[in-house]
Amino acid sequence: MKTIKEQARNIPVLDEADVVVTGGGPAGIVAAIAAARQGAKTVLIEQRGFLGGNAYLGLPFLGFHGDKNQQLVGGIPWELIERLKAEGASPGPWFHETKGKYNAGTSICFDVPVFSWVANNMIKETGVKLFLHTLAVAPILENNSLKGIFIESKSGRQAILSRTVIDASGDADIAVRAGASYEKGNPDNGFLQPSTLLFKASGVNMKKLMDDVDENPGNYHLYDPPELWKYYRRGIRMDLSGCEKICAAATDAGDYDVPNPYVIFTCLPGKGEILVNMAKVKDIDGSSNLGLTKGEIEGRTNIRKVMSFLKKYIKGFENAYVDWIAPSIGIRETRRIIGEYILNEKDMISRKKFEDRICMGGRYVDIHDPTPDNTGESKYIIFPEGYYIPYRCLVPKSIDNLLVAGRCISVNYVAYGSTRVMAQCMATGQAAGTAAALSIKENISLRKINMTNLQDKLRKDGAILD
Amino acid sequence: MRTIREKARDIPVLEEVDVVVAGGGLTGVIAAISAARNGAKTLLVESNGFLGGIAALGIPIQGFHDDSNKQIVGGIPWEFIERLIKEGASPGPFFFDSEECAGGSLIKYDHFKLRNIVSDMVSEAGVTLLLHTMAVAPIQDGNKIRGIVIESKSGRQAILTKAVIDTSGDGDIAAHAGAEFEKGNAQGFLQPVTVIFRISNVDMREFLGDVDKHPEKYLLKDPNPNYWEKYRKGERKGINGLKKLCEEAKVRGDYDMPNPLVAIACLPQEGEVIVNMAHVKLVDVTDTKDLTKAEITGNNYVWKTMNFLRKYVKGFKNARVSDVAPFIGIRETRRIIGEYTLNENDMLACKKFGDRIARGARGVDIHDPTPDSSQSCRSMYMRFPKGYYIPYRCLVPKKLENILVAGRCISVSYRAFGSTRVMAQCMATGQAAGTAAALSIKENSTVRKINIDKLQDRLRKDKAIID
Repeated sequence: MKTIKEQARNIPVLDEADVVVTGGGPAGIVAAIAAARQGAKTVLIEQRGFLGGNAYLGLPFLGFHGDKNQQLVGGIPWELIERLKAEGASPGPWFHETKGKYNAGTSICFDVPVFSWVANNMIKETGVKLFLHTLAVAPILENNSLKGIFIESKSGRQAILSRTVIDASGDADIAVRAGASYEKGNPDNGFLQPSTLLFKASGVNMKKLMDDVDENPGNYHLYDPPELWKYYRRGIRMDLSGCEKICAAATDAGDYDVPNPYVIFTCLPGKGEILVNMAKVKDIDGSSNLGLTKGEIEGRTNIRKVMSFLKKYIKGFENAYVDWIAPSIGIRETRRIIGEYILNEKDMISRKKFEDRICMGGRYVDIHDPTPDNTGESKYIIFPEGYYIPYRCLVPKSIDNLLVAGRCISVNYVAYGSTRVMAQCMATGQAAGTAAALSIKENISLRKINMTNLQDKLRKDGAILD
Repeated sequence: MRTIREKARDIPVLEEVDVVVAGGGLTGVIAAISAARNGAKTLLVESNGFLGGIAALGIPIQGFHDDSNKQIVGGIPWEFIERLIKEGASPGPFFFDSEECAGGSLIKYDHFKLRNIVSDMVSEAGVTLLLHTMAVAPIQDGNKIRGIVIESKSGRQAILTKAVIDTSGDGDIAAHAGAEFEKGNAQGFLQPVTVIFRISNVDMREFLGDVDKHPEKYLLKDPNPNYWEKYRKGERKGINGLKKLCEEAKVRGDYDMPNPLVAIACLPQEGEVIVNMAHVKLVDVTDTKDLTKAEITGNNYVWKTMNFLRKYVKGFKNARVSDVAPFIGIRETRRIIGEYTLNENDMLACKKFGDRIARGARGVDIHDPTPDSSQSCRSMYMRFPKGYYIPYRCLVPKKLENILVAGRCISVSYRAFGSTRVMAQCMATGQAAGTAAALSIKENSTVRKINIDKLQDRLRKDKAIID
């Protein structure tokens, strides 16, 4: 490969911190708040002009509850939900009272702009120093130990020195550039789950849509109870999916050629507003600029295709229109860091109660068909009682002063299908932020931190680990 | 200042092209299309996941027409407008009739459809696109630009090129390469920045009924505006003012923003409006700290404005913020010093430069940059009824080779900037820059030494308006 030489040079130091968190998505926001509340001088870096990451795409929060409606994630993540509810920006959890393979706990929808504002406020209240429009580009490495990060922004290249770094970039960018080992996608063929450009359809006739669900329950992956309209009118907001046969018929008629063979809707707080999770793009790598570019462009094309399909085939969408498109394509899967432990689905099924557990999960394994030619199947495994995530999944092997949080933690391919959802990302964020702050307070490395202290602290802060 | 030593390293070269356009706002989109159509292998780099820049926020496009409604920008920018109209994304130009306004036309559009259309146009022209990619530094050989360094999920990479067009809005690449620039007025104050946001579920009947009943509250001169009746029939006008209500709220401690009035634009969908009001002052957004502060303060103003509207303005009780622009709208940062600096006297005199490449006409509009708001919001109007010309030299930074600037950061004086900063002129300079870069490559020349007659002929052939 052709290269050019960049000369050695001096980079100005913008700031010095105890904890730097890279990535202002759900995991990073919670990690930064947790670290700052424990007294660590904390800096949060986000490449966009707003906080939220994947929570800014309109997706509902999944993973807060188990199949028996038991709450599995508390602490700061739950505080965020409470604040959204207090602002009138979320109706709270919708319990999937189901009987089929889609047992799934809850889905919590919310108004995206309010989430970002609530996150801003919590970041400010806890004294986290925030840098927006700033890209964390490289680790500052001394042997195998992180000393900070390099950033790029309108101010040019700068350095932030830090005693610990939490990589909440979703793709483990800093960890990988520091030399951490990782895996990506399906171990057999390297396929990654598809990405989706999310959009909001407004002007949906909800009564018509929901009456149709009642009249043709077989079309939808039906959640109990029926008479959805009754619940919707009361302010409850639910997810809806299914219509495989209609999608297939439309495909045969030449009216639908998006690689997503069923409808996926989330009802949003606003009346007649539905988040459509269907404009899938396959065979792109979201951890590369070429992959992201292709995803954004194809996603845009697919939104137009999905919308004309919905208008023609799904009752209630006749006069609907695209009201909003997410500012970035939603990436389901990229790298999984190899940490001190790799959580697998057997641990999760057997509810292995790790000594160093730092949070819980419970959502079913949901692997959207990753095959480029749509010949695979979406995979499902359920965990009705919930499972535990150990701290070691957050600790990359062989690199010091670094934790990962969010979807890139150390799990295997199948386990990833469950741990990737936002409630678990946030829960690992709280654990990482708390651990980083403790390591500084106790002047001990992240790898050797006292587990009892960490767990006590997490429990005191409302996290659920038992 | 404390520094840390970064070691020398090798950076992989991702692409080698003829023209790199840095910044995917409308200027960059038009520049890239014109370069590619003129045969240059062109690459467009944008840090967001979509193209459109400020136009992706929904701010109306201004500057296509002069005070007598005559069109003064054509070419690819106008082709783009026609495409918006054809695809149902815009109703086309709305002409100002009020003498108080800045003159000319205003073009509203659906900004999500706009993002799709600019993507389509760029790909049809054969431009290579890199989204989610930040252009961070020039690659230089003395004063000669050889390429740019980018940062993205793929890490640090290089793109080698024969010419760079800096359409970053802030002249980032030119400034990093050592171009001289000016920023703001004599005191260094910059025009405020604004977060644009959209509100849904407004009871328009209640709101506009109140406008009809109390036009004085909304700074409307017409004593019988009949807004509600017109709205029902599909007309969508802007409502600026609410000054009295702002003052009343201020006395009661419910309003503490620097902007003394609210500008509300009605959107095509019933019950939807877009608000362009929350000025954030005293920030220099070429600095990452100030940029962050601007986003956070601006976002706070969104919710303060919303609370104010809910409490004081009829029809907003159940309204909701349905979308906040993904980045703050920036009016002013650097003006690169080029081979010529266009000033307001040239513009008033309608100086017909030998190397003219675009026209403008919009009135100078400088949002009060003073910290104490001692100027009224738009104090410094200056009108150009005959229009004016922009010379090619404004696009050519002094000293540097192989680089052009286009868009708002071209070489103009502080006051001239108040007019040239609008989107139609940004796009027109984009077409000129793209064409010039492609020509320089075809003729094996440089952008500084290009044959102006040929450039102008080409622009005329491509329907740009330069005479």
